Amino acid sequence: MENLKSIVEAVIFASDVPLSLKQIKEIINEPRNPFQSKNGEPINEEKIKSIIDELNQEYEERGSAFRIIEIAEGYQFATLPEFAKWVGKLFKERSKKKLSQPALETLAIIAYKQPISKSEIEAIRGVNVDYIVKTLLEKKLITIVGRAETIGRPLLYGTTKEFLKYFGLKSLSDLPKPSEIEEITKESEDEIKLNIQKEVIEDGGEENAE
Amino acid sequence: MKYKVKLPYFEGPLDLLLFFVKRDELNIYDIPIAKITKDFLEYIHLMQMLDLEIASEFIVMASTLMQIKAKMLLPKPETESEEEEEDPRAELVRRLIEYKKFKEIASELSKMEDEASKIFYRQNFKHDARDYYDEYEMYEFLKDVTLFDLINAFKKSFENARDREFHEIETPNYKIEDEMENILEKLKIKPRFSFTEIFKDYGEKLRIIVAFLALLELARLKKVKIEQSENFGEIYIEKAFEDEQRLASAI
Repeated sequence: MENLKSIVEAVIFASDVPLSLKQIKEIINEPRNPFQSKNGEPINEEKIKSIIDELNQEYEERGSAFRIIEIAEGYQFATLPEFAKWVGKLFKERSKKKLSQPALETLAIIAYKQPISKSEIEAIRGVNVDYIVKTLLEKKLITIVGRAETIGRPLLYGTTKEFLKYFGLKSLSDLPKPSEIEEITKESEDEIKLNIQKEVIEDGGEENAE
Repeated sequence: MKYKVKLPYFEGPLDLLLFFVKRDELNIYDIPIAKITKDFLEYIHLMQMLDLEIASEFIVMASTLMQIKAKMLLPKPETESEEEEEDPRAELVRRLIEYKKFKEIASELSKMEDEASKIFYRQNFKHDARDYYDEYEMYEFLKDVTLFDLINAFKKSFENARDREFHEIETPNYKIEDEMENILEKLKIKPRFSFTEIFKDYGEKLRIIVAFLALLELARLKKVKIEQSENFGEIYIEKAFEDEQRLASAI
């Protein structure tokens, strides 16, 4: 039964990372062996999105424990939160460790002001952030995204897809947005345009790979 | 009588100032600078009394506060320009407000972290899940143990016991000078050999280290030549020519 709905389901099911609508579309329309729709029209992202909605509808109707969830700029299968206390037993390590307050504050600053250098973070927090930045890098919640064109060419940090996933965000625009925070974001965007020429480091890790 | 004093933990001076603002319900835009400076210094003194190391950031903030306080006490010079002079507190207030915003976002993120941790994404969990199965095996699969398993287990512990019985500690006695001699001796037989060849017969880590140091020393004394054809390629050791040696000693 090779219909489009099943193909989308299979592709998302087999992936252990979130797949974007674009990626799914490219798999389906892959030039050498594209999916042949009945009326010959090409499959677009909108169509795939509606298929995902349909699938989720079916899972809900039959009372499944999982859904296809929009997360970190893509779609991935996931269990529903109410099963956390059972599924969590499989991953004991992970479920208990939470980020510290200083780590959360630092992440918040990086998330809203990225790309940002260590000294800029320190200016806001008023304390040294060497250790925290190192830990966040190790946890892959942030990554080095380039160097500032200012004196000393300091490294610039930004958040990763892992960050989005960790906080259950679809994308960065999904971050909480009180009106005051909007101002900060705007300011930092202007700053980026004026002062900083972003320069992506090639080997920035898988997080940068698209 | 001894008292135990518990200080709430403050990550930095801004953290502490925000604590005062919240505790005393101060207006953040109109901070009573004299009072807050006094509180801040008291806290630093308390830290000193408790023999806590005071981060330099706190000292910097203390001096900033005192500077602001001094500025506010001084009569304002009569400016000719119509521009109003900025409140000396403005910069501090701006920093406090910005930091406060991020603290609020942080607590927002913390809630999101909780929620997100309840969702488990499909993944390749072989590695993660294994510990659980191992533990599970320990308690549940005990019933299925065969005589063969028991003999195996016995053999294992028997071997361990024997190992312990014969454990000896040797005092290593390698000298860099000896190893240098060794390498030169080898070079007499074979004028050129590869880096790995030196260590081939040396079983012990310590001896390999000593031999390596000896090689470095020989290279420094220009008694051997070390060459490599390409990056990460094999390294070759060669005897240095006599005249090169003489040249080196002349220098």
